[in-house]
Order: sequence, then structure tokens, then C-alpha cells
Amino acid sequence: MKRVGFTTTIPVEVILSADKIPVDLNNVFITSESPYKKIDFAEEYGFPKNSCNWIKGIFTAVMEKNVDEVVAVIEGDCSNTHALIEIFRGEGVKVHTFSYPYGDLDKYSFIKREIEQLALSLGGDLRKTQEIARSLMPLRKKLILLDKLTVDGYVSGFENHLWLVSSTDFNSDVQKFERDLDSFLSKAAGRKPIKNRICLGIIGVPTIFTDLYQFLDSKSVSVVFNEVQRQFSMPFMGDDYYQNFLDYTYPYDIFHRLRDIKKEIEERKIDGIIHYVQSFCYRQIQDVVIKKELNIPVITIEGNDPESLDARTKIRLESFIEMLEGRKK
Amino acid sequence: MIAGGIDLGSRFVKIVINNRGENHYLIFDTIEFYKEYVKKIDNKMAIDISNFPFRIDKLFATGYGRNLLNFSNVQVISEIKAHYMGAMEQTGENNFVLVDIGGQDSKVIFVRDGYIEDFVMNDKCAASSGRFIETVSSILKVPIGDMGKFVNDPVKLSSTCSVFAESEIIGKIAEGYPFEEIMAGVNESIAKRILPHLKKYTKHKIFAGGGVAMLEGVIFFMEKHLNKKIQTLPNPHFNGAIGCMAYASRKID
Repeated sequence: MKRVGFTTTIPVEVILSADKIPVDLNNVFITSESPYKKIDFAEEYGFPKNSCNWIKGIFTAVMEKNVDEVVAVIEGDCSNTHALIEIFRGEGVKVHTFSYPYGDLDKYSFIKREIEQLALSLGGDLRKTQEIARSLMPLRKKLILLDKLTVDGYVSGFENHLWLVSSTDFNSDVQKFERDLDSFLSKAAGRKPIKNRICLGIIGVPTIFTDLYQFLDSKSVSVVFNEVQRQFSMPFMGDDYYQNFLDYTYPYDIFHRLRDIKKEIEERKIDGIIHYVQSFCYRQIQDVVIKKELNIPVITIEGNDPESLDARTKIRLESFIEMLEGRKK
Repeated sequence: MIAGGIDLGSRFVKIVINNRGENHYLIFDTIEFYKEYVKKIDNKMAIDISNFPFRIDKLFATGYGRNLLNFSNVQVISEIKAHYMGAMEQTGENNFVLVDIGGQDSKVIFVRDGYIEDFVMNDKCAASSGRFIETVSSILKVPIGDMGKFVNDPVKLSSTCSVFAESEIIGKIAEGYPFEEIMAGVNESIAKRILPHLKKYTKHKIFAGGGVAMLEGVIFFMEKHLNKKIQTLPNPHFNGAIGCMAYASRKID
């Protein structure tokens, strides 16, 4: 079976309908034994040092022949992807493109057309796509349960991050993913819940830091919300397959995302938000809007390399937690 | 009981000891301090306070090296907490904004009714810090204490990074700009980097702390661009250590 890599979350059921294996290239990069080597490879190839390391990781993951073809998202994610696919095409890699609609005009027919074209390009089938989507519904419900167990203290913020971020491609094996999830959930439900006084939410792209969750854990605070990872798991998946990809917030403007974030802050009783930004990412600019719009404390941390938190970021996070504790008193 | 506060900064280690209500201040170069007092104790690197030339019964610590003080009678607090408490201790106020410019970072802390309401601490950049001033002072061969005197006709420095700014400054010298104007430009560039964090607090009383607050030129440009008076703390350099000492003496009380 052919392996189809993608640069960010796409309607994964389309790949499955073509009897191909979905592979999230971000996960190949970050879970590899040495993500650094992937960055070095891309820089030696000529990628600028002052550009996003995720893009470099994705590039190397493809060049190392982890996948047979690539779906690149060219609207709704990162504009660096444009240059990336130009390089891929120059290297003879087969590239399909996918766009999320920008703006409000005629969004539904736009996304429908994009999904249809993707199916055509990949050799998939739309009816089968929808059947697969229905058959994945119970699995997605289990991910919603996992997310709820995180709020209730049975599942850690890190476990939540790992499971939800892996749901973009179900670790390239849906059946095994579901079996592993079942066994994890039954184990987690039997745990004694951990109730920390301070509950945090993490918003923004998944972090490249290797020990952010462990560090927060050592400070006895709970991460009860991973915004983008939760979006990746498509918890709102309903019967209208196309509408799901309009309800999805990640590829759209910051206000669409903020509606979801505000709702979850309220429901999960979150005390403070960590806004994670990747170095050289346009999303850093959105920080201005986020801080203006959210009425709970927000700290922004920036990561570049796949390494542990630096001393400065640790000091900032510690101070942030202290401040939240002070406010709670 | 003698209460002490120690701020293990990136450039200097500041210590304040309160003995029967009277404060004593000590300052060490950070590297010298680490060479002298950091020892391997129980197979772990730690600061050996038993070697200090003075007695401290209860010590609070902050700064980069704070976790090296792993003793039962030492309590570690964050820099934000230390500086906020230092400013309250030094001014007696509990509604204010503190801007602290240290050796390697800068922070703005908003205090309302005696609690930290919000803070901003710069990320991975030393361009608005004392480290930048030190570098320029060594390039221009001007003592650090004199750097703050210059405020007229500042040269515009546009580099966002202190390393690039060094090359830019050398370029300005080669173009024939007077040293005085370059130094004024350095003071203004430091002030301007902090401004975005201070702008929303112009309605509040603003205090300045940290070693850089002793450079009147930096304060001059902050005041000019904010159109607002900024009061430098009576003892800006020791503010973090004073905050630590205040916590330590309260614990004793």
C-alpha cells in the first residue's frame, strides 16, 4: 500500500478511501530518533537557519522516502509550504495540493470542491470516504472521552497531547490505534484522579519543546486543554462530512479559533493560557489579538529546536504559575 | 535571627542582609562568585553558604543560579516575585508598574492592591539589557557609568539584535558620527525596546529597577517616549535581593 504524507491535518478519510496509508509528516519528524538530524539535513540542503524547523523536518521526512506521495496544504496553514512543494516537485516528489477556504464567501462549496478534487487526485472515492468517516465516529468519540478524562484528572496533559496529536493519521494504522486507545482508556479510568489547584490551557501549534508537559507537571499544575491537538481529533465530527472541515478551527482566522478557545476556557475552568509559538511563524503576530481577546492571563513562549526548555522560558513559566497562584488566593 | 536575600543575576550576585533592622549590601561579579562559592556537596554542585564571610539564618534566593542553593534554610522564589516585593519594600506602594532592566533580560510587572496582576518578561534576547550596554561600552571604550549621560541627537540604531547592533555601531563610527550621539542612540534603543510593554500602563505610577535603571539616559528616553515621569527605585540594582530579604524577614517574623 502506498503511503501518503501530509503537511497538516486534511480529510484523512479520503486517503483511506484510496486504500493508501495516511502519514502525518510532522509526526514522522518529531517522533524520529533524532529530529535534529532532520533539521541539519535540510539546512545542509540550503534551508535558511532562520526559517521554521517543522518545515525542515517535513522536508527531510519526505526526502528520506518515508512516503510515496505528499498532500500539501497551501491555504489554511503555513505559507512556507508553497516553497516546500516547489522543492519537492523539483526533486520529483508527487505532490497533491489541498486548500481550506479563506474568507466567508461560499465556504461550503469551496471545501466540497477541494475534497472532491483531492479524492480524484489520490484515486479515492467520495462515497467510501463518507462511509469511513461514519465508521470512525466511535473512535472519535473515544478521543472525546479521553479529552474529558483529562479535564477530570485521570489523563495527564501530556498523554492528552500525544493521543490527540496522533489522531491526524491514527499512527498510520487505525485498527491498532483504536486497540491501543481502548487499553489506555480502561487503564486511565481506573486511576486516582489528580486535582491540581492551577489548571492551564495550551494554545497554538503543538510544541517542539521536548519537556514542556513534564516541566509543568513538576510544578504541580494541570494542563486540561490542548487547543490545536483537540482540533486535530475533530471532536465535532457530524453527519455532514464537508461541514466538519468548516467547523474545524485550526486552518481559519484567529477569531474563529478564539470562539472555541473562549468556550473551552469557560467549560474547563482554566486559570491561565500558555500560547506556544514556533520561531519564525506568522502566528506569533496573532499573539496581539489573543492577549486582547482573552480575559485570563496569557503567557507566550517561543520554541525553535526540538530540545528541552531553556532557563529563560522556565523562569517565565515559573513566574506565571506563581502569579496564577497569587491571584487564586 | 539574621534574614538575607540573594539575587544570583547573570552579571552580578547581589546580597542584602538585614541585621536588627539595618540593611547591609554586598555585590560580587557572578563568575567570581561562582568560582569562590560553588562547590560539590554530596555529589551535587551547590553554593556553599557556610563559607560566606557573614552569618545568615534565613535566606531567600532568586536569579539564574537560584536552584544551586539547595539547602534546608534557603527558599527559592522567582525573579518576578522578588522584584515585585523589592519594589513594594522600597517604595511602600502597592499599586504600580515596575520596569526592571537587568544584565540579560528585562521585565515589566503590574502590581495592583499588593498582588502581581500581570507581567511581561522578554524572551530570548539580550538587546534591551545591561549586557548590550556592556558590549557597547567596551567597543567605545567608555566606562559603563558614563554611558547614561548622553541624550542629545541620538543616532538611530535599527538592528533588532545586539550582535548586529555592534556591527551597526562600528559602521556609525566609520561614518563619522560623534561618540556622544552614538551613546545617546544606544540609550534610546534600549528604552524603545521596552516601550511596547509599558505603553498600556501609562496611567499608573512607574518605577524602574535593575542595574540599567542607574543609567539616566535610558530613563530619559523612556520618559520622553511615554510622556510620563518614571521614578528610579532608591536602590535599583539590589531590588531583587531586597525583595528576597523582605520575604526572609517576614518568614522569621
